[in-house]
Amino acid sequence: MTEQPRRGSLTLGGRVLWSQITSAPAAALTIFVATLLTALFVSGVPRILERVSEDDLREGLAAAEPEQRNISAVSTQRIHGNVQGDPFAHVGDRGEALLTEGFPESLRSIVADRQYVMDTPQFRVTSFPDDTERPFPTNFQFRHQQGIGDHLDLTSGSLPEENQPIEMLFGGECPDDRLAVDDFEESPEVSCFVAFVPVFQAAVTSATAEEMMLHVGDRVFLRPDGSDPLWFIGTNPEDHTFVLEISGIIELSDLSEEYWYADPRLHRPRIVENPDFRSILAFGLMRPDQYDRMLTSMPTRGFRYMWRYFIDPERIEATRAEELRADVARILPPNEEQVFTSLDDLITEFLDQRALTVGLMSTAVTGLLVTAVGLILVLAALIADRQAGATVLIRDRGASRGQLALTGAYTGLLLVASATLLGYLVVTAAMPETDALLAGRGSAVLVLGGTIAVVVAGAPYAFRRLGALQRPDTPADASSGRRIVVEIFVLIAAVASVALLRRRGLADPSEKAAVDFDALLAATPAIIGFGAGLVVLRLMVPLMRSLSWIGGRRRDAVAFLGFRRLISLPAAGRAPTVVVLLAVAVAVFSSVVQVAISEGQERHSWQVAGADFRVEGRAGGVRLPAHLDLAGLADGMSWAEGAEFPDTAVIGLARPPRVSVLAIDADAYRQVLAGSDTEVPALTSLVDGAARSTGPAPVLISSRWGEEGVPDTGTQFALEMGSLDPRVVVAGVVDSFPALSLDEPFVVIGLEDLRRAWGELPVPATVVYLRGPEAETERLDANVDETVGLTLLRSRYEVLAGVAGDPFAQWVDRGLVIIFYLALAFGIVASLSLLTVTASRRRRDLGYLRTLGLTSRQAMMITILEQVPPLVVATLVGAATGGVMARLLAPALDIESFTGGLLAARVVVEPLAILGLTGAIVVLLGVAAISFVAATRDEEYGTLLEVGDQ
Amino acid sequence: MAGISDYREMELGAAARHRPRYGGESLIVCDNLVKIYKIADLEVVALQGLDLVVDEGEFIAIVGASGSGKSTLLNVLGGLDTPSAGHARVAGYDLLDMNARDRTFYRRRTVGFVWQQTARNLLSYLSAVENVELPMTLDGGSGRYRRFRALELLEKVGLADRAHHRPAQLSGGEQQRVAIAVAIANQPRVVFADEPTGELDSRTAGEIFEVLRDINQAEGGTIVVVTHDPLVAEHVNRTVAIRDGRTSSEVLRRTEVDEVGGHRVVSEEFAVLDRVGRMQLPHEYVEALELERRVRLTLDPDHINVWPDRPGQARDDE
Repeated sequence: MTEQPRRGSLTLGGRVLWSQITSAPAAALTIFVATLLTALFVSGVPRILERVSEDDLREGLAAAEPEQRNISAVSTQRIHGNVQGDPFAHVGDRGEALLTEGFPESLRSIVADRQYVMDTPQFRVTSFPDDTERPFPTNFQFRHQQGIGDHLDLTSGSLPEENQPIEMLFGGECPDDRLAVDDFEESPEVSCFVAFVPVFQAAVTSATAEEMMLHVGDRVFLRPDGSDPLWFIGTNPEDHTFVLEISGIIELSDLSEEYWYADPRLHRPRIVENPDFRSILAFGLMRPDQYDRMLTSMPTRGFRYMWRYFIDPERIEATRAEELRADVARILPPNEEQVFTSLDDLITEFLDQRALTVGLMSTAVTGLLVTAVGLILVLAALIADRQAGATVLIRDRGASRGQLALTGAYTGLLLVASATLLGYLVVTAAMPETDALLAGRGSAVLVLGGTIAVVVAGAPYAFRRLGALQRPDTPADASSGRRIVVEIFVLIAAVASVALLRRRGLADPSEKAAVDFDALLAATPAIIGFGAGLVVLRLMVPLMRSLSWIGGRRRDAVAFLGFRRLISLPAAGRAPTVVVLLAVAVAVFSSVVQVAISEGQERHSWQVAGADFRVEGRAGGVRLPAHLDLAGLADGMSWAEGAEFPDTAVIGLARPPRVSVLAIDADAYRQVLAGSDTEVPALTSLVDGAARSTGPAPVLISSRWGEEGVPDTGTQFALEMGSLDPRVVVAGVVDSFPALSLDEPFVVIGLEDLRRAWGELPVPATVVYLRGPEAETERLDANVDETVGLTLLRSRYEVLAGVAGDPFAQWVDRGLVIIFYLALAFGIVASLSLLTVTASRRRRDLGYLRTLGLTSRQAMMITILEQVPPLVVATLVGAATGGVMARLLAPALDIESFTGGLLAARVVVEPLAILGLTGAIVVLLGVAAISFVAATRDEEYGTLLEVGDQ
Repeated sequence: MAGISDYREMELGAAARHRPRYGGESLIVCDNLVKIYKIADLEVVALQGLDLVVDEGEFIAIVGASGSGKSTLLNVLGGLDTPSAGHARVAGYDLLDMNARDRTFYRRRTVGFVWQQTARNLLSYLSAVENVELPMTLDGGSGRYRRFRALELLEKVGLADRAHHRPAQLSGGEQQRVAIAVAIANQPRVVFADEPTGELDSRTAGEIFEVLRDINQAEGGTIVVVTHDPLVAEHVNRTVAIRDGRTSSEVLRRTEVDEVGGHRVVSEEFAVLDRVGRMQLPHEYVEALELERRVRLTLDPDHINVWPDRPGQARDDE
């Protein structure tokens, strides 16, 4: 007995199911398509994210400096030994032991290669071949790098060999009977002696030879540099003097090779230089077996050994990134070597970026998902409306409410589950290798939500009293207690979610990295959109009632009837308004965030480059070559020259910071920036100031000043520039200035003002800013190349490509664009369903009104009036909600992480775009309304009103 | 916007342009009226050359079985459907030769409707008085006049105290009474009622007919009721029966004074003869005499004899 009702339900469901779907085929098809599109997106997003994550992690690691992404271990030891002709066999063994014993398995598995590098302690060059004294110190070290023989070419001389000690005379003029060194110490009256001095041959690169002014065959004296802690304390350097003989000149392979670890020390000497000081540290290669000889003969604590472990980014799986990061901290070198790597930082950076991407995208996708479910609800209501008569009949014949609800569930499952499954399978087939967990969960939520929506849409016909159903024109009871409770609950949830989010997500910026998938963050826009929709529906009633009353007073039947009809719409007729509002909110949210990211990237590129192109001296503050023709370089483009003075002292203020000073041709630079997102309005004050010939020069200063706070506008101080200390007055305070670092205070002064202050002394240009299309890059590159490395070209387009080309940023950009269009499409379908969901009721009402003398034009106007106001309100409120949500959530979403991170993102809602969007939807619906009336106008009213029994 | 006087002029103009040839100055004249519906590829001939004449001030019922074409006739006369052929004229309007604008004005001022389904007679979201005001609003009447006239009409149909109730708050009979007030709001020349009591019990139906009769008598309005209920004949002066898309018979009902001075209602049924001399024999006559295919006619000085086509029968009778 207990089984029978269930079988009955199934049978009934099967019979009714098909008729339900076919009663409104367009609506059923739209549900299927909307679900399919959403399913494709919901299933695709986690899989694409996974793929993008792999790309981002690998690209990020590949782009990082070798010393950041790879792992190196450093120690000072004395490792002797020559095993079967390999003088570094033990060094290699240490490296192997370090890897196998000290590295966790996860790290060992990503190590593609390893090498060791060995540096001797530093030596001071004490004499040069021509016996001239160098005014500044020159130091020398020997280095051996595993496998270096494969990475060098001998260009002159020979590779280093072993050399015998040579006998050399020390001291001044000597008598003929030269003294051995032992005798020399016992004969203080003699001022010279002869000794055997070790000789070590070395090969150096041509750059090293050039800087040291050495040639093949040259000999220089070296002795330990006492400042190097590798030497034993108390070592007398003079006792360990030896001869370095340059055996040959070599050229090394390209420094960009992974092999070199981006370490240029063998390639060229390191030169520290300023106007008062210059020092050189050069490296050379000895014959491999000579290192052990040196280690044995020198008073050193040992050599510096570096073991480098090259990470293969392709072996890293993004899904195991967290495990990998933890393992980096677990590296335990067996011999207390120091481990150096930024791999964990790079992974942390990646994880943060991925978490932010997930947080942002899940918010937008959840909004889309909710909109899709809302659309399914609206379309299912249309199907239920078409089936209302049959449903009432079936209930009349004894069908239970449960059976009808079950039928709704079958319909929902058939339409929603099949479309979702199809979408899921398509995505799985396209990206089989990716993890399906999140995609599966998202799809399940879609199926559940969609099916519930279909059941809810049919619920009024399944659960309302039969008597009420048989009087379909009974106006909706908007004041039902249950409905009010639900609405209050939604509003409380919306307010609470915002409050919680503000307290938790926005209060502590340091927790940004922990965003990841956050149900609260993801659901908040949807809840707020829904709440806003309910509020709009509530507020619209008195507004429309007032307009209807005014219309009635003015003998305006259209306004009177249109607004009254609007108020009387049943719940199914109001649902599209909420869905449109949600859809517009999601679309605007996505659009605003996407535009904020794009615009942020653009501004970042301007901030970094300062113009479309920037040509500057090789180092900051170094003048451009005199032969560089700036006007010729610009070749018709807008350009402005500037002079940079880094690290300049400020005089006349309490505890002033040291500042970077940029003297810029303000008027020309204004033209360079014109129309860009980085215009600096305050530049005008410099242009105006340039017209004055006396008094302090106006300057713009950074809002990040010293400890004493930012000087007020009008404050005067001086800049220390040699003997010329121009006096300036603060004309404006700016948060940022293109191409100037945000991390240190700066002062921007007009170039003309500075030249005037300097009088006779020239102010040479150190930088030139150019405004021009990307196509100019090649020509500018060629110009810069002609300066033989004296200048650098910085292209804004390259900066932009770099920041916009980040896989996460690209994916977020595309994802948001897709969500925008999908949400908009859902909104348009919901708008049209606003027209169709009450079409039968409207047809009948308009038919009746036509019998009373309503003209077709009036019918059209009533139809439009019934549709347009809620749609306009929904669109405007939806747009406002989307914009507000974007602004509210922007800090939590950390949009800056997708824009380069220099400048705070601007989250701006464009009113014109909103109005355009509203206008487009209204026009679309207007056309649909006109089409509806035109279609019904041709119908005969007898048919329309279903009069009689013909 | 055209004023009331303009409408009157247009109405008179239309009447002048379409001067009737058949039916004289009668309010409603149908002459060989044909209406064909096309449903998919199937053509249904709902009216097959129907003739009907209704004079101003009449209260008539059109009866017939389901599918006989009576509602089609009402739709055509009400300007809701266009006839396929023949002539149809109401209050001077030629229903075959009206543009959309004329048709709108015709529906607004010349005719009023009461439909069978109570829920479809009124807009559910307006109160009773607002529903009654609606035709006047569409006709451009002032707010004060509309409200005064609407309340007056509701009082006339006995619903003054229910003026501000929504249709859902009224009984079926009350809704129909409001519908009657709506139908006569703009003082139409004729009111068409399609099964106005179809959903009502007999007592309420009787009340509705009383209201219609009061309007007919007090305001002189012409009322055409379409029904399949033959008992309606008790409430009207003339009952026209339609069969197979044509008028088949008429029952005239009049009150006579008997010998003792009492009033009695006398009903007399007539067969309808069309303009080309065709008539339909009542079913019961045909069945009683087992008439088939052909009948034999003989003419006497004051009547016509109809004989079955059986050999020798007519001659024997003669």
